[in-house]
Amino acid sequence: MSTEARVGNLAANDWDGGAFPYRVGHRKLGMWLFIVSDAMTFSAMLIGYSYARAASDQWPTPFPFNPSIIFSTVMTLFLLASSFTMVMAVRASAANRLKAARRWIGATMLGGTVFIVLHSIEWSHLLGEGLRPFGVSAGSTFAKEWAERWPQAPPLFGASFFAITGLHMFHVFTGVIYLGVVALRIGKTRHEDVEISGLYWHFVDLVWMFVFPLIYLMSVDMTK
Amino acid sequence: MAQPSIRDVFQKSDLILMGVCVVLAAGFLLLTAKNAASAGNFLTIDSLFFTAVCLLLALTFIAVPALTMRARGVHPFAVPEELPPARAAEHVHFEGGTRLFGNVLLGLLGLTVVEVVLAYIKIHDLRIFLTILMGLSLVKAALIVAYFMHLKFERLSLVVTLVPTLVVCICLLFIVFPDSFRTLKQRTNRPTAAATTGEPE
Amino acid sequence: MAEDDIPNEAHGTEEHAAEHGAAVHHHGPPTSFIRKYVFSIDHKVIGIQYLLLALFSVFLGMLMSIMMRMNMTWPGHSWWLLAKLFPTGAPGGVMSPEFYLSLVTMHGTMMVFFVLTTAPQGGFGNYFLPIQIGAEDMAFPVLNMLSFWVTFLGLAVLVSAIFAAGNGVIGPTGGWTAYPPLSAIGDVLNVPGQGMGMNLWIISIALFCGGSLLGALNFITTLLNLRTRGMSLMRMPLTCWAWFTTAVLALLAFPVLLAAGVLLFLDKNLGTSFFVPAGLSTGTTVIDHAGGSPIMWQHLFWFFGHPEVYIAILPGMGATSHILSTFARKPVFGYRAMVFALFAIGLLGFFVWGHHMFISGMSPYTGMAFSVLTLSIGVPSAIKTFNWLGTLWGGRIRFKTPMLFAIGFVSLFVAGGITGLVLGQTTLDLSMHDTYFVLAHFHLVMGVAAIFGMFAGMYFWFPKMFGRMMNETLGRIHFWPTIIGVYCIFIPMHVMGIVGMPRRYSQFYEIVNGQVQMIYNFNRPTVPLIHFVTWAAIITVSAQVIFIFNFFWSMFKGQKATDNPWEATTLEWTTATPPPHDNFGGRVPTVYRGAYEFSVPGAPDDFVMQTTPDETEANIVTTAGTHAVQGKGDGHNGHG
Repeated sequence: MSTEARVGNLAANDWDGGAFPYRVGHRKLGMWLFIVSDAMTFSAMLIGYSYARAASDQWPTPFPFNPSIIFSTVMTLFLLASSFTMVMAVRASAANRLKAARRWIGATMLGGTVFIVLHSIEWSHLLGEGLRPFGVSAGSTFAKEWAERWPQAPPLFGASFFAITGLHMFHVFTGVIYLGVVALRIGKTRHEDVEISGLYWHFVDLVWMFVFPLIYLMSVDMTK
Repeated sequence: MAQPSIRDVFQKSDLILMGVCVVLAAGFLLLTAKNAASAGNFLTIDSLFFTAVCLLLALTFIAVPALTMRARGVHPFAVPEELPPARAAEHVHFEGGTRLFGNVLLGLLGLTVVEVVLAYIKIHDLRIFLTILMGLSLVKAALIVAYFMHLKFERLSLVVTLVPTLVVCICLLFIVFPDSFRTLKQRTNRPTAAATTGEPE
Repeated sequence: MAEDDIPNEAHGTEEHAAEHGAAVHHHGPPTSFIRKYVFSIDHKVIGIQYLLLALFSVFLGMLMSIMMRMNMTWPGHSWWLLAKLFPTGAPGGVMSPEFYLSLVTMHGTMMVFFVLTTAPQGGFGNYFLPIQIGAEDMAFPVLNMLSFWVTFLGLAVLVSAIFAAGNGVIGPTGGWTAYPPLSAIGDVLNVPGQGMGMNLWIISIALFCGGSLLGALNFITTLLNLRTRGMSLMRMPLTCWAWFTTAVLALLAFPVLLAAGVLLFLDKNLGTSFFVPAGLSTGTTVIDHAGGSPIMWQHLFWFFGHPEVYIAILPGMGATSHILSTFARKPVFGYRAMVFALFAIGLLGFFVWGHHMFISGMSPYTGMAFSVLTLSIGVPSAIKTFNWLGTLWGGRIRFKTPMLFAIGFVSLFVAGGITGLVLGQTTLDLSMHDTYFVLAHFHLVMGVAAIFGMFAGMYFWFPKMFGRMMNETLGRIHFWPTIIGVYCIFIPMHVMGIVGMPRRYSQFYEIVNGQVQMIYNFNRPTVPLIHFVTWAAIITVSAQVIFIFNFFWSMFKGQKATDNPWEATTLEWTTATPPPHDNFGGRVPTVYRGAYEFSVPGAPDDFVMQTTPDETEANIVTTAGTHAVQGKGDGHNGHG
């Protein structure tokens, strides 16, 4: 928003009606509120996971540094890079360089898509080794290993892994579609539309900054 | 001169026909996706043939409206040469440039690398590991919120509305942990519970 | 989020935008029936839609409660209608215990979610918040429409859950709190009703969460960004403050329920064990879930559940403050204190959820902290009560129907709130928990009080909404049986609770050969009370027919209302009755004073409208207004 100070004591009057007290339009404020609310959803999920983990005397730490952690680190890098391209898109849009903005959004969508693809590969790999939402499938690679190493562990590792990364992946997926719509309509939208799509995308990135250490790094295999 | 909009150029019947084409194209794409998802082994002759045919049909159907629009000079998703009036009226002031955002990205990458290195050298006390990780993640989150989400350049009132609300609510959720530790204690005491019946915790 | 823009292509040009200046939405009034009454984006129509939805739900919920009472009072009696309607749940017209439980579940869910949350906030809030702050519509009209229809879908799914038959019972039987493990692995354990019905229940609640969330962020944005010139925060009517606080609570509480619901759904359908502990068995086989904790569900649920209680009651508090002041012809006593008390209640409401879990096996230390915090809610509540009494004190009170219901609200709030202090203490709660005492407490303070707030609001705002007055005589005839009736229902329930009658039991005695045979002997003294309560409930529910008749009759045949029939001061009374599509007919109101200027010395009338300027103040506001117009103009271009 572009309202610059015209009157000396403008700040005192901002809350008196007829103005936007935060100097922020409806849609941006609405997006911020949505983000606050969505952050509560993710917090509740992560707290639930932490609760279960803290209440168990054993918890599987099955991710070897190579390849699991390296693989998820690469995913993280793609997500971070896409956050950077998104902020560049917003910057280009602010300068009314629409074609550049569209290209940057395209790069962001690419980053998001790569993230989803890598994530799917990882999921199918883990499913193939026997990890399931209800625990581990009987007779699988994991089942034998886990029974030896973590006999007391509750069957909650797969549950929390799939629930939390699944919810996050759902957000990335909707984010890519949302960005696609914004990119296609960039000739008709206003800057604020691009900016709030950026807010959403950065939020998805931000959530990953907590999912990655809590789900992956805290589950690194200490013996390999 | 602004781009002509679709409704200026086409009649209702044109639009309906084009809509039918788009729906058909989308339907074939869906068939392709369904085949890819449900086929056990995707790389068979049958499956590939089915995919190729479906994609070809989808392309054919989408080509009709696309070419028609192009012929009539309508580009529904084109970036206009001249700025639309709503945008031209805006004077957006946007702080930060490539250098700043590049630095932030470098910082985020650096912190991520530190986290991963910690996982590599393996800190066996998980509590310490968790504390460091959460500390680093909070810094990363703060960087993202402040620079990428541009909160640093918003008014202070917005910051003090959003951030404390969220922090208080998330911290409130931490009240569940005493129960978690209690459950752990009860679980780990289980084998010896019989021996110490009646003893208060 | 993406698609809520009001296309300004329709009017497109700059000149048009400039002409409308501060217009929120550039669309004209819709003409087709569907756009006008069904998929309307007009906040007034959406408000009425919410009210009708709540009206439908409240009558369904009340019928269920009557069915429950009759089953308890005349056990074994064969009801012809039940046999016809529910051949599975009530074979031969005698209710099975599981059917009773599913009625409990449905009654609770419908009342809490689809009545107490929708009507005061989605209904009255939607209709009057934009008008009271001088806006032309909500900030996101399309989102507003979506939030109603998502809620409607949630209700449809919930109603369909009633008919999800399984194991000789209909509907989920987990109560509105859906405690695991029964809700999570009910179908594995072969618990009647916990199969498909429970799934539908979770889906319905998830939809409701989504709808409320959209509504909440719309309310907050509207209130912050769309206040008209001169409408500073401290000039807003207390109703607006209440709706705002409620929206903040909803925004922060519902996502947690959503997350918990997702986890419960996974537990139920994908075999995860977030909420399921080890060692459960069906009697023959051991369930292979392990490692979860039902207490975690309780934590997550009540993290939402307790703010939800305030989501239900705060709008009622706002309406009551508003109406008491208007009909006592006095300013609200301690406006500022009222605002802070509202916020304090909202804030403390987040800190106290553990008092629902004192006997769940939670850590006693947290229990103590929760207890202390719970009792401290008494402080802002007392501030509110004293300020209501202070508002009434020495006023020239006009006892119209809205005023009667507002005073009824205060009475019920106090009567129900006092027992909250009893239940908030861990030691007392140990014996009172899950008895009729709890039932009586929350029905009085959260259920009936909130409904009295809604009745007060309905009688008060009906003329503005439908252009006709509700019948005064019928209103009084509705009021007296209702208030006496609810006390007759719920005061005996306290006694039953102290005797020890547990909640959710379908029967306490049987009739054998015309003789009462107690199933639980300690309950013998409460048998006459059970009969008394049931008759009181039947009479009270019948009295609501008067309201329904009055509502629909007045809508078409009532006396025509003037623009300001109650001589009130706030902005909704400055516009036409009913308000035009853009609320103020193209005019942007300017506010010069607070919301409750009644009986101002020297004023010509005993009320001064918020839009009435006076010489000294007018000057100040005009100078301030110059920049404000600028700010608003920019902003609305920005919104487009």
